[in-house]
Amino acid sequence: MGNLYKIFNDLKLDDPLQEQTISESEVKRIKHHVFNQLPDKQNNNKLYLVALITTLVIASNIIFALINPTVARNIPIVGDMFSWFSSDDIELMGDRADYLTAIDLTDSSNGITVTVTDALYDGERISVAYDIRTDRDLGEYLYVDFLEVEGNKELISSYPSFVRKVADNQYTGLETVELAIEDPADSIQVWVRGQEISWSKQVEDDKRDVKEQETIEGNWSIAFNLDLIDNEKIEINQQVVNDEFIDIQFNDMILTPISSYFSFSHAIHLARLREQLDFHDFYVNYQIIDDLGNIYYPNHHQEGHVYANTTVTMPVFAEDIEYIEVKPILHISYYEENWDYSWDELELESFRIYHR
Amino acid sequence: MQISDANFIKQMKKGNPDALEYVVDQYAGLVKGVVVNTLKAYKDYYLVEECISDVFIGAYTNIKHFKGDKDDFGKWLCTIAKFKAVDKQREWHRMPIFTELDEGVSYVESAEASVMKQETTDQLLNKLSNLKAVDRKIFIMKYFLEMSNQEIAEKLNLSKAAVDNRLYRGKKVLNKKALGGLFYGKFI
Repeated sequence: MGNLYKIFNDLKLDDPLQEQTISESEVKRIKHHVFNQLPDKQNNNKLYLVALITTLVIASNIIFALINPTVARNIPIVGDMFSWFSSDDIELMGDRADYLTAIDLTDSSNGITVTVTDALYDGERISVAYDIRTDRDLGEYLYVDFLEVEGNKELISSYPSFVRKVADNQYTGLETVELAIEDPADSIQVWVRGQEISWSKQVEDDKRDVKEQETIEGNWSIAFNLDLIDNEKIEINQQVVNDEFIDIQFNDMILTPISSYFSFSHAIHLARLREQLDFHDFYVNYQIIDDLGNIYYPNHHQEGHVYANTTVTMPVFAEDIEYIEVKPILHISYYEENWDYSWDELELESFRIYHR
Repeated sequence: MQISDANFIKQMKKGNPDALEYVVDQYAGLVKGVVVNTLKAYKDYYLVEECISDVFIGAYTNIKHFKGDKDDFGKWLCTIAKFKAVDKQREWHRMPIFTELDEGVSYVESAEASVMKQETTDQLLNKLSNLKAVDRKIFIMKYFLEMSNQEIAEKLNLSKAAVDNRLYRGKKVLNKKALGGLFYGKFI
């Protein structure tokens, strides 16, 4: 049959409809949900940018420092959140450059030359470093959405690219995708291809407010194979939290020379939760601290809601630790009156993972 | 590019997410009105907000099928909102029940409606592809937009008897093709 949305053109409801008042916070939540649910290619990383900006800045700082050691000292370190990556740490990361694969493939179109300088595949993510030369000024930041991987269905999320101007008509930066692969292949086919590059004439602190977006069309295509860096996957498959409101299973962890990934799945007991409060939303985060008192600031990627899988990503742990302590925190928002809501945190029992 | 009433439809069709953001700002209250009206018995704010989000995603990803101007767009969006809300009810009825509705809520549905909601939207749409265009519209209005036979008649410039008759004949057609299932019988 014809497309339902096409048929809706003929069925347009024209009854007098009762418009309801809607608060700013509701609109904000709806936008957040909408832009996170859009298919990747239709989401040009606007609101998504806000949600992922922290991860992005960390990742781009690392790669940016590695591929541009001369400007590494100028990378802004943003508050406590990034204290893990102090300027000294960035310097210490020098040996991690060993894990980057040099690509050095170039394609030009419409006056824009795109070079993939380096790439990294650690089983969970693929990061590609760009050097882009232009024949005109394209502002301070470029947005590229070029990265595709084998099968593409395995791609669970793409981080917004973060490509910034480093000299007149020269831009450098990073694009990253996460993969939904349980057993990563030793090698993966990667395509960097696209028909447009966007930029904002005026970049403000809050990217959502950027309205003036320009686009240049072209045709760039670069293909290459990328090998998996060394990694160790440790199967756990143990229940670590058995709470009135939530069960959490620790599935596995993957350790690489540059990062650590924990995989958890949880199930919320909705009926019990509903008995306690009129909740609106919830998510689970994990606080991680080691026995020496080092606090880690992981990035979380939660897929699902009531039943969800969460990947927790961190830098490597210090070598001389005995264990890390993981404290799951259930964040719950609940309604008060007139659709207003509040957030509350429920700290769950922590558990330890011992370093071998 | 500044998004305004004059260009948001064109920009939506070009896939400009700024236009989508503009539409959410402009129409969220209207969509909420339609969705809440359909889902209010559930008293689940999360369900309502999820449905409102689905409406805007549906509109954005299917904007190529929209024809008309700004006024038409509002009505088209409301139709999507009604469809999504009914669809959400259907989805909800297929889920395990975690809690009971408040006793004070007046929410009575027919056995037909209850059973109808057990089928997925795709299953129902597939069945309708066997009908003539006008009958398909009637079935969509009846089962996807929950309009009464009288409302459908007024919308399509038909008599109510004609709508009753077409629904009856449509169900027979589906039944002959062994597709009748829930559309057949004394449900309507």
